Amino acid sequence: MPRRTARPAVPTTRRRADQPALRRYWREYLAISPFYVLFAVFGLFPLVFALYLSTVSWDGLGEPDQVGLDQFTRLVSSGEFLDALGNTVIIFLIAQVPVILAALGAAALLSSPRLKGRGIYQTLFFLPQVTSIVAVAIVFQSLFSNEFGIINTLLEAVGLGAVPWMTTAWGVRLVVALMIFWRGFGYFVVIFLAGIASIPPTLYEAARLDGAGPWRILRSITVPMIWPTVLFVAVTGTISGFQIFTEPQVLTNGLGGPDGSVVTLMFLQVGYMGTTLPTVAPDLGFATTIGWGVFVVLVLLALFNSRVINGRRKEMS
Amino acid sequence: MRAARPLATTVAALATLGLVTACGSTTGGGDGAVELTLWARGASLPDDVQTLLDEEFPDYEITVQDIPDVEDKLRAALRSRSGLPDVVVMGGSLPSFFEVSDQFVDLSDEAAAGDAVDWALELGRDPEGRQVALPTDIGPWGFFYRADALEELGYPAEPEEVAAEVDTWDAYRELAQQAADEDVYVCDHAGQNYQAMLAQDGYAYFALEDGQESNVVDSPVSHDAFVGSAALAQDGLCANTEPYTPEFNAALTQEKIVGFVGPAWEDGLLKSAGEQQAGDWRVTAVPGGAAATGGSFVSALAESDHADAAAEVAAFLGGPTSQKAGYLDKGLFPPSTQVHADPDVALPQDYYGGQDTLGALAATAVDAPVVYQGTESSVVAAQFFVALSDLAASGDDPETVYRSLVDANSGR
Repeated sequence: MPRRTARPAVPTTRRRADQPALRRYWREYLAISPFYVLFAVFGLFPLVFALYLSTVSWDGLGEPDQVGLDQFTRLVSSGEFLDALGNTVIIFLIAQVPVILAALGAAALLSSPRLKGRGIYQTLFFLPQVTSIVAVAIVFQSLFSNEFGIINTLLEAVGLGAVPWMTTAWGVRLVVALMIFWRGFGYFVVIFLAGIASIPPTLYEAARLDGAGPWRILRSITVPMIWPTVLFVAVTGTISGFQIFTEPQVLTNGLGGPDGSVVTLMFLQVGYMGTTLPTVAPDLGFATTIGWGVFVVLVLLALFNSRVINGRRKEMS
Repeated sequence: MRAARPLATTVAALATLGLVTACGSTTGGGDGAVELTLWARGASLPDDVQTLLDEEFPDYEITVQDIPDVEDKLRAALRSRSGLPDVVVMGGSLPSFFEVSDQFVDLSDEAAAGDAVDWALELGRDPEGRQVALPTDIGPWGFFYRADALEELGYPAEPEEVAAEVDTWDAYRELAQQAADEDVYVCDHAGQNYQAMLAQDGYAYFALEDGQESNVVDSPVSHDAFVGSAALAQDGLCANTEPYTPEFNAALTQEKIVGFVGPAWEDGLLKSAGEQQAGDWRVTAVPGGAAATGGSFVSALAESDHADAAAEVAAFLGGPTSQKAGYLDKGLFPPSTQVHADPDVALPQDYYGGQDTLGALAATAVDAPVVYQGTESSVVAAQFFVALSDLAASGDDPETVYRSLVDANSGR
């Protein structure tokens, strides 16, 4: 095969090609720089600093003490992190999982073509999402107060005994779960509704003609057709579920409930940052290490999520 | 297209520049005027603090910033050594700032010139004797009670007589028992009584000997106070509601709480939650002796461009004029003994049925013992407080709980 000689390049192009890439494309780099500058300042730097912080013990003032990997040893051995992880998982299971399932059901019902006043329901369901969470917590405190709450007053009026909501571990977890349910329900309903709206109505008509009931339609048409939405909700719902903080913090006035039963991972972390949970001494090093712990847990969860969902997708196709 | 690209580049570059410079601090005032920034929680200063400051310091330009989480903001600013105010009024966790006490102006001369009660000045002094902060308001503890309710229980209604009859914690327990028999409470939360008992003994888990802090978490003072308070709660003599919660307000409006032990600043809480009970409440000395805890403190920052002016402003806010206004506006109890005796301030109060509450607690404010607050005193205190909340419901053995708390805190 005869070797072809390179065609002589146009002088101007060659001059440009000889320049280092940075100088050649500086306009392009400048154009995309805002994102990278912001990422470096607010993303990369904190991440690197967090690595350093997890090797020190520091109350935020004065000089930090170098402790090497002691904070990580403390993370796995002190029990505080594991307790908080346990609390988070429990609250996640009794709050986030039911709210997603209930929202899916509600969205399926709301998208029924015979339903009147859909807008009103959607607005009502979504309203808690835009309500101040501090105000919500105060309302829940008043509702579930042991001796002076409306719920216990009603329970006693109908002959059932008062329930010690706020002073038992499971009681206060349940109240936190109810707060999360009440607040998150409308958000997930709206997302599911958007997904369902994109399903061609002909599919439903065909299914009904074939004699499929509502359960069968939900299982065989709605859920498979909105699978990307389910995936989105599962992933974001898990991540937000594992970052539960405000509800337990405000409900228990920053103290964490009886025996610290609603001290979630984020709650513990913010506690060690020194702004809540007065029962722990501020230590930014340990707070950062908890952050790394949360990161690892979330990565594991994301892997688990994608495995389950990919498996399910293969099963369907 | 050709024209659009340079334009886009320029816009992007300007946006980047703008964002970067926006992060930097801006210090204005090149005209030589003394500009000072004051950080404070609105609730811990008189309503018209700006007017007061402008009148007192016509040459200074003072900006008052209302910052609800002032301690956190100050900590962050000290950490980054930027954006610091010149003067700051803060509440709790003062001892945690002693680690960096050289960041604050030593206000020893200002303290000596004033007449604040000794124990409150002591709280603002670091272990080396540097006056880091001056008290702006203090919390002498009182026994707040409803005169009509106590009369119904067969007790006197007048504050002096109540103080004489309920003079010990045993006598108080007897009263609490009689109240509980009538389905009302003179104890809101056992943790409050526990705190009062510790303050009476000048105890806060740590002791200072020759400039060295030692851990005295395990002590008979704390043990007896803890077990005694736990018994109050477990025997059903307390309402088990913490002040500043909706539960406390509900218990008060439903007339379940007819008395409680608390610091002077709960006056504001009482007046708002118990609005309908105006005229019924009184306040008197707590059983077992004078107790007090610190309220708010004012400091001047050493790195201020005008540190001397900042110290002047701090001295003013920690002085009688500002304290007088703070008491009249918000019921903030003044540390200055001169204000206690001021006839313009020590007035009969309608809410307390014409009682002069300042006079009623002035003796407590003066007699209260000095309490040494260690850096982690508040952390340990919070653990014991939470434990008392839990004990009331769980019925666990207080001795066991006490022991486990002591063990958990032995390494501090």
